[in-house]
Amino acid sequence: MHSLMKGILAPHLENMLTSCVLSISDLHVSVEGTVVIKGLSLEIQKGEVHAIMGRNGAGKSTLANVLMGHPDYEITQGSIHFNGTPLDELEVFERARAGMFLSFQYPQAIPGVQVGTFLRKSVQAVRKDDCPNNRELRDEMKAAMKILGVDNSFLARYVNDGFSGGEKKRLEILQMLLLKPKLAMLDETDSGLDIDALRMVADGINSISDDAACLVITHYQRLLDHVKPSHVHVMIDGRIVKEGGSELAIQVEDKGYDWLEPTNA
Amino acid sequence: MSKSFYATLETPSQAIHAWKYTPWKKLHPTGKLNEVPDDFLEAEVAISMMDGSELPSGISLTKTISNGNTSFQHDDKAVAFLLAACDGDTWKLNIEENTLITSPVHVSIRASGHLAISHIQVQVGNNSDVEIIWSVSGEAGWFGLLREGIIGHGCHYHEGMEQALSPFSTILRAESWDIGRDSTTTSSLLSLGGELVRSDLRGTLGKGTTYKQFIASNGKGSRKDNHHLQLTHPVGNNHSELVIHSSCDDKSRAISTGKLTISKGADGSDASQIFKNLLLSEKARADSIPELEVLADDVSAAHGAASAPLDANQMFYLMSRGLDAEESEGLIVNGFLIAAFKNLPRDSISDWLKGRLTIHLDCNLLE
Repeated sequence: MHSLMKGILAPHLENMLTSCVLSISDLHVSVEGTVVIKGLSLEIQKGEVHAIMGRNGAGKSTLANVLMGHPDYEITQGSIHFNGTPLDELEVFERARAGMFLSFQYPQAIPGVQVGTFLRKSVQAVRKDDCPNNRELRDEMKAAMKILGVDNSFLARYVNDGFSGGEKKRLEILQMLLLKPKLAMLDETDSGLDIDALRMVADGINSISDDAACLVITHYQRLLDHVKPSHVHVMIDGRIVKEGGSELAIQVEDKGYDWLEPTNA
Repeated sequence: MSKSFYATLETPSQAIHAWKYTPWKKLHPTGKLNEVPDDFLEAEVAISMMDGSELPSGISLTKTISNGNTSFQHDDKAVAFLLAACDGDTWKLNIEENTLITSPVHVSIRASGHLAISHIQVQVGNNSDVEIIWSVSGEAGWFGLLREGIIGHGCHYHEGMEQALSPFSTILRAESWDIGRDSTTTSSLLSLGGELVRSDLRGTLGKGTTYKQFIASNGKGSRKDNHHLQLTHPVGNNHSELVIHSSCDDKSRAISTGKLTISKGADGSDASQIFKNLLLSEKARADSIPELEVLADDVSAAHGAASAPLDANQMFYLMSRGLDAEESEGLIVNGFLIAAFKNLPRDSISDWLKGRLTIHLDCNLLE
């Protein structure tokens, strides 16, 4: 879209004319009366990998949860569009079916529900038009599990029940690979992973990044050694205070966050 | 046991935990508390192999007339009622010593008519290894089931039962199990049917015995499911485990009591009781009362009870994977109930129970 047109059309019309997957405009979010996000704007195009870095409490996970529709978070101002559709029109499951995926920082255990059953139901729900038959799904699962280094016994276990931290993160990425999202949001997916697991998870993210938009939330540079971000944003106190390319992540790793504090900038 | 003997017994007091929530007058089929009706129909009982093969030698199901010997406590009003209603008619499931059966045996009990009754004695010979799947079904308005089991020494006896009677039935079940030395017994119950259900189970452990009881109860409508279990360790060096998971929707109610007794000198006993309730509506209720009576010194005894509504974070997680609220809730309930059977050692029984539960819940969704 020509830059002169920008700002003239409504956001959803702009999105339709571009390959913009996610458009966030002046977002303000409260949790139980506390303002956590204080005016955040962001656009992500298909094929881009955006990294959001920031200290604990900066509002990174809040952003991921708001995007996915967690009921505890209240949008008090601003708008979010996903592929041109206002997100407030979509229930949580509708966002997933529309192509949004969140890899959780702390994935929930669902005792008694086998991973295989869960994956099958989830794929059937999300990939309605492109839903593989049982044989195709089995083949897809095998291929994805091979990337992630997990064996078949994984499928018989209960979802995240008694899983190690690394196993939980692998299950998240396994779901991402099978659900084929248009927007993959990864919330601290690198935390608790050893270097081998980190590489496998990164391989999983890289395998979808051409066809999807990715939003990677992290504290550290180390995941970004394996997943090359096209854009890096630093969040402090509910706002994006600095944006740049992958070099910004290296600067943050070297210098920490203090130099980016609005009072020091 | 005679009807006249039954009439001499006092109606159980509601001061006792086990009778506090559902008094005998609610369970009695006619409300005339000292009367045992004459018109009980015997439930149909049949045996087969789950894989369709012929019943192997060493196992038999025969109809007998009881000589009055029973392992039940004679002074229990409900048991006395059931014994009087049976009038001596008893099925005997006999498994001979050293019987090893690799495929599960299926025993079906079908209860029909206004009033139905069945008395089954299970006798497992020493050093046998069997798996039995019990299906309880039918449209009986009122069904009484008595089961008493004597498990020999050195046995592996594993059973799973689906109780899926009509949703309008009243069910009174009483069981007594005597587990022999060095035997391992697991009993799993999927409690789905009946509007008013009461199950009393008594188990006595021998030395070196492992006895595990797993129960999953699914409540909806105005279903009321009572489970009262008494496990006794008269000798030590044994292990008992009780796990009950109850899901309660609508105005349903689950009541579970577990009395664990470890006798004086029964050192080395290891026992645990876990009660978990999932409350799916504001009007659903669950009461869980574990009770420990430990008279020995060197034992391990633990109990826990928890009731909670649906976990909002679990719902969010599943919905973020494209499942709508109804599908997510169904999966959580299914998983919660299945998790009661987590420690079942035999896949054949647990797979069958999982399959039956899934069918039941899927049918509920269609109603």
